[in-house]
Amino acid sequence: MGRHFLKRVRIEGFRGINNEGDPLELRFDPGKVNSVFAVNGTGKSSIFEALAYAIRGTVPKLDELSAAEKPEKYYVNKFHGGALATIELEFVSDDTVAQSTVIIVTRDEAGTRTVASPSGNSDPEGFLASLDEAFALLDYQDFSRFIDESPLNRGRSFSALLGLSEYSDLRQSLRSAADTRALDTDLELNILAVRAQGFEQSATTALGRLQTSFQQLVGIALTDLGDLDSYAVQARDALAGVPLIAEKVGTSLGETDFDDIFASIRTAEGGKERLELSALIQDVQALTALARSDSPQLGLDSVKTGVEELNTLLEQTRGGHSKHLYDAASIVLNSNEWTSPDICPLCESHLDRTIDQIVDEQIQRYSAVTLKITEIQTLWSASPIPPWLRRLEDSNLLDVEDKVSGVLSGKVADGTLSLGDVERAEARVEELAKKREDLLATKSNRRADLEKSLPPSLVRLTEQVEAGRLFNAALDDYTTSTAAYDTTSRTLDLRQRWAAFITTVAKDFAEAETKMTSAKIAGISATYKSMFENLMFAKDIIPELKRHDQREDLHVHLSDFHGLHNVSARALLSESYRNALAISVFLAAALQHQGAPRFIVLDDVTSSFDSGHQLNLMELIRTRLQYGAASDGLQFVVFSHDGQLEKYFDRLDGEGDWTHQRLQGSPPLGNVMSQNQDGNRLRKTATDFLDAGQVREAQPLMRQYLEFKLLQVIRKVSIPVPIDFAMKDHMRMVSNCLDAISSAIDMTDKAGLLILEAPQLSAIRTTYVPAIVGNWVNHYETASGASLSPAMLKSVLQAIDEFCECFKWDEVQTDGSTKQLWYKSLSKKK
Amino acid sequence: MIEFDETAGLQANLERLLLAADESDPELAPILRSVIGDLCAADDEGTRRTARAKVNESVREQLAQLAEESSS
Repeated sequence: MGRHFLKRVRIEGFRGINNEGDPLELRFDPGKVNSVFAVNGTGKSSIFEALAYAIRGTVPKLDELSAAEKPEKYYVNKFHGGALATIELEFVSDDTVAQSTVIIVTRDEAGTRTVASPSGNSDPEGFLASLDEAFALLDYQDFSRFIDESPLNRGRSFSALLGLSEYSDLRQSLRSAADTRALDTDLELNILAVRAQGFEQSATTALGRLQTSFQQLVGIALTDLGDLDSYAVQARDALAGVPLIAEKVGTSLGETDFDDIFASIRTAEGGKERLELSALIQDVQALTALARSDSPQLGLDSVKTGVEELNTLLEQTRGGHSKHLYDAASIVLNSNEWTSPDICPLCESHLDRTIDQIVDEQIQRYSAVTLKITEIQTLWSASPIPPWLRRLEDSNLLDVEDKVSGVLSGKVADGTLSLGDVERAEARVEELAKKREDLLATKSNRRADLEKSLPPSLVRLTEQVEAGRLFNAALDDYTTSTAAYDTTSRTLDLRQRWAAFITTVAKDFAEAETKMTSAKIAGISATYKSMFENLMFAKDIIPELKRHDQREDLHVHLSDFHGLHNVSARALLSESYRNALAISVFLAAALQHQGAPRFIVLDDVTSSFDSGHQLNLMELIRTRLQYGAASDGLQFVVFSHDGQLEKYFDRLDGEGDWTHQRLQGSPPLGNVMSQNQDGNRLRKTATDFLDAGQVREAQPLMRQYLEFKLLQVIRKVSIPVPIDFAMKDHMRMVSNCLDAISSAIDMTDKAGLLILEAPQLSAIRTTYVPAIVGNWVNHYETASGASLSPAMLKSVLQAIDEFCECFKWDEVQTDGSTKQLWYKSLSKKK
Repeated sequence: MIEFDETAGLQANLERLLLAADESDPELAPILRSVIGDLCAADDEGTRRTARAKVNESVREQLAQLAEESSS
């Protein structure tokens, strides 16, 4: 698939270019360097912006305005009657030169953009998007930023220059997706780990109770955890084998009413002591069940750590009122009501960062607090201590009056739990645990005494029934905890596996991207070094670009600086050298780029250069980089407002590898025209007036056209002019020009150096100058214009055109054809 | 370690990455394939944060489904 040259641009109603009904048109030659000169304020920047808007959809200068300044109102020219901006672009492919693609982009005052293709491109917006490469449109700021940016930003913008911005973006996205903290938060890895640990401990504790009660009930050890169903049947059968209670044992322990069995035993035994024993057994069971059911290691330490971290995070915020302030600021900024990013909306002082960054950072701190509160709530819920405290406080046996568990749960819920609260919970748990142990010891001793004094058979039966009940409860706990542990562990394992997987993917991508980018940098190394040396004549300054092995940072240093090695380019190079280095790097990268655009538009990129270095750059472009000079070269379009540079442009204009245009006009109200376009337009309009017999209307246009053509001869053939030439009466400019040209011809002729051919010289002296003087100067400049006739003035137009042709010669080309060139001067052909 | 072909374009190189991921973990690679578009679409810090949250939410759902399938 071919790449595209920029062949033509037509602009009307965009930014500074009004040109209502008469668009500015610039044509560019793919095989030449295309220079465009304009003095300040004649629409040069508007052309560059029009190209940027058409291709990129934005105008950087307008993007930087605040919303309050309503940048969207400044795309369309303020004085255009139709209030419609139209940009027409024509491109030609480098593999099918005959076929061109025409795209028309419009924008109305409401900001509606339309893109169409009269040439029949099926996806004109996509076509323009394919041309949106970083190197295609470059201005001075692009170069000056390159060296001064941070290594990271430089690396990212350089990736865009190499056509690798998508890789840079995806690398950052993958890194974000693999961020450890984000994964912990989004996938709740830490919380799941705590939960799984809690379930595991509960299952272990339940297993202990299960084994003990089974041993008590059946008299053998429970060893095979894979056969719990069988053990449950054995336990049930052990109880069902006792005649006194056999009828009351259900088909399984889960369907057995243990309270009813105890009632039967009490009835069978009778007596106050038996009732007391039964009550004691129940109390002992209840107090035993109140024992902590998990590992003693699982305390509230993680909650305490969370609360301490929360306190730290709270210290980093600025309180509730400030939170309201930042929320309000965020609303203001997101609504685009405040668009001066470097100014504080409250005190209007200038900031060293953007207000968006500051507000975002502050809000992030409050978000971190909210996240931490959620984490504390989860840790509190996952901890075995709070439910144990509640069970202890709710136990009638411990007789607690001042209960704290409910209060603390409320504080956890509303995020106000303090370190003191956590310590209070720990103290209360410790106090009640001690009370439980003491009471259990007392009641166990009393129970032992009673058991000694009562008949042993029913005591044993009571203990058996109690063991059955305990076995049943422990089996439930064990089954539930094990299932919860399995589910949680499986979820945690999968999520941890994803975390490791995405981290590896991000790492692999980053390594591959670094390797590819480094290879690309190595590929342009010789080119940019050579360009830099040619631009600055700096053999003893060797720049070096190096991509960081692990990050996107791109470092610029000097491998040699007058004998010093590996020193900072940013610190040592002057502004012009820094820009020369940036230009060398950009152009080298652009040459290697194989993206859709095969053109590069440079807008005032030589601002920091003196004349010598400007010419070096232009010669570099002309002789080595442009498509006409190198088969892998690019089409160059160079905009400049530099008068010295324009002389160089003018000298090269039409010399095979260069074409030059000059803008003139009066934007933003009037028209902007390229010099050639303006001359042709003047001639056509004047001829139209003359054809209609409107001599008076034609006269000022005639004067402008004659001046344009004569000044073109003076510039092209380097005719010397008097020092006050430009300051003389403008009404007499035509005769001033003719005088200067005639004098120069006479003087060169007398010196025997005149290069004009005899017929040319003769025609100038005997035909064209007399015709112009006789039919124009003698009438117009003496204010006797009334005697001018349309036919006479038309003959003047023809005379001036033929007069100009006398200053050109035919150069025979290698294929035998001829090419018309301006004489370099009156004494030199070229 | 994978290598990108600088002449092939991002899509082709992404395919290399996904194939390598598939070899590394065939169960998780399809999840990566399903979210890579969201990651590609992000081009600044704001869109990247949104994309990460969306991707991780989708990853949680797909991992839950994977866990359910493997346990049944």
